[in-house]
Amino acid sequence: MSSSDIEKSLKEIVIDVLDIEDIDGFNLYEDSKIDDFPEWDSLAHINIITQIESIYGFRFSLDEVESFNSIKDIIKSICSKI
Amino acid sequence: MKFSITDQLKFSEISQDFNPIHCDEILSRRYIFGEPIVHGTNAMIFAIKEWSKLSDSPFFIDKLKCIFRKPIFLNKKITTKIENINNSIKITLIQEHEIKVKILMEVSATKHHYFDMNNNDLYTNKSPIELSLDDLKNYSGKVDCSLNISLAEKYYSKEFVHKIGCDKLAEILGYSRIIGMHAPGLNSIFSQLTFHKNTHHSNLISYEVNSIDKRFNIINIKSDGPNFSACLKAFYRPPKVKQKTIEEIKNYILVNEFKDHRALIIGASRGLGEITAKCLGCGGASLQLTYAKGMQDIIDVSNAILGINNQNVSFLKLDITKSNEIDFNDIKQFKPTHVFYYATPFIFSGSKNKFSREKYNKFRLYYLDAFEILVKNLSELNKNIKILYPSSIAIDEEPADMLEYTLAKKEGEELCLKLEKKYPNLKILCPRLPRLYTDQTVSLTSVKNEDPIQILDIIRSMSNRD
Repeated sequence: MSSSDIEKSLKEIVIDVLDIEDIDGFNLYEDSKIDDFPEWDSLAHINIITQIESIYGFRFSLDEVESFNSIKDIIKSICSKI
Repeated sequence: MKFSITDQLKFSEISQDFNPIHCDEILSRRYIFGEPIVHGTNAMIFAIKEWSKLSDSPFFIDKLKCIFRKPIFLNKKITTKIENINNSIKITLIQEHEIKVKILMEVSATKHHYFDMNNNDLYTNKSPIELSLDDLKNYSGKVDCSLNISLAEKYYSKEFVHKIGCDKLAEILGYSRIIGMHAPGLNSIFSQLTFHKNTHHSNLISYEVNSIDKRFNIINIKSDGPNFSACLKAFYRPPKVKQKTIEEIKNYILVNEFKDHRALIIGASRGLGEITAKCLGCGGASLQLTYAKGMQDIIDVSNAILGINNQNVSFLKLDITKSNEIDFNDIKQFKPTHVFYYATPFIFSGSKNKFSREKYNKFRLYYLDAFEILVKNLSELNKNIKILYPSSIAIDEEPADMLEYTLAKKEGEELCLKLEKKYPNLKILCPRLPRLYTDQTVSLTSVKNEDPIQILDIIRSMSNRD
C-alpha cells in the first residue's frame, strides 16, 4: 500500500469522524497539521486513532499517539506497521 | 429542544441512571466537564422522537449506531438535523454550532405488543458502583428490563412510547443504566452505542466487559437483551481530584511559619484554594475561607484545619460574581493581611479555534469585574495587603481551545498593574502558574499536571515580599 493510498483512507476516516459535510471542498494533505482542523480535538483524535487501528489491524503506542502533530506523522507510523 | 435539571431528574427516574454527572449540580462541578451534562441516551431518544414525528406508524429499530461526540449542556438550545441516506436515517444533534450526537439507524414497520412491565419498585439503589479500571476487567452482570410506563409516557408522550414499543424503550434505557450505574458506573462517560435486532427469551439485559483500552481509558462492553444485541463504549472518567491531606501537608510546613498571616482565601473549597488553606492553616495562620457552591467541601477543609488545633478558621458563602449582593463587611472585619483569589469558572470550556463571546464574558466576570470590586473594597481598609492573583502559562502557550480564557487572564494581569498603581497599599502578585493537578485540569486523555503543592513557594514568596 502506497503512502497516497494511506492518505486517501486517512482522509475518509477523518471525514467520517469529524462529520465533514463539504467532502469535495475538504482538503487533507500529507503536510496538513492536526491543528489546521478545528474539529480535530482530543476526543476526535482518539476516535480517529482507534478507527485507523480497527481498519489496519494494529495498535499505536500511547507515545506515538501523543507525538502525532501532522498527517505526515500518522502516515509514516502506519507505513512502519504494515 | 433544551434540557433542564428537571429533565435530568425525570430521566433518571425513568432510566434509573442516577449518575451524579447528570443530576447533581454540586458534585458534577468537580467532574471533568464542570457542570451537569445531559444523559447521552436521553438525547438519543429525543432525537429518535423528533424523527418519529414524520410518521404515525410504530417502528422497530433494526440497527442503530450512536456516537456521543461531545457533552450536551443544560439549558442550551439543541437543533436536530434529519437526513435519509440510502436505507438509513441519519440524525445529528447540534448545540452551539458543534455536533454533539450522531445517530445512524435502520428501521422497519412493526406492531408492538404491550408487556406487563409496569414495575415501579425494581430498583432501590440510587448510588452508582465505583470500580477501578482493574476491577472492570471481565466484569459482567445483568440489569432488569422493566419500565415505569406511566412515567415514560408522561415524559416522552404516550404516542412515542407506543411507536417505539415500551419493551424496546426499556432496553435502550437499560444501556444508560449499565454505563452510568454498573460498568464503569460512577466514573463513566458514555461514548458510543451500537445495537441490532437479536431476540433473546429473557427480561434481562446481560452485559460483559469485552475489552479495556488502557491508553485512552476506554471500556468496551457487549450486551444481550430481549430485543437487541449491543456494543457499548465508555470512557473511564477521572474521579474527582483528592488533594493532599493536612497530615501530608504538615511535612512541608514549619511550625507557626504563617502565624502572623490573616489570610482571606476566595474559592477555598477545592483545588489550589484548598491546598493554600491547608498550607497556611498548618503554619498557624488565621483563615477566612469562602466557597460559592461546595458547602460540604469547605466544611471538610475547615474541619481538617481545626483538627490540627488551629482554631482560627472560619468560612462564609460568597459568590464573587454577584458582587452587588455581597456584604463586604464580613471581609473588612476580618482585616486580612493576605488575600488569595482562586475564583474561576470551568476553564477548559473552549472549542478549538472558535472564539465564544459568551465564554469570554464569563471569564471576564470572574477575572476582571468581580476581582476589581473585591480589590476596591480591600483598599478601603487602608492597610497593607498582599494579594495573589494566579495567572497561567496558557498565556505564553496560547492553546487553540483556550482563547477566551487566555485573553481574559491576560487582561487580568494588566488590571492587576493598574490596581497596584491606583491603590498603593495593595501589592498584587500574578505569577503564571503551570498546569497543576486539580479538578479543573484532569482530562480523558493523558496530560501532564504538576503537583499543586508548588503553590507553597508562591505563598512563601508573598510573605517575604515588601
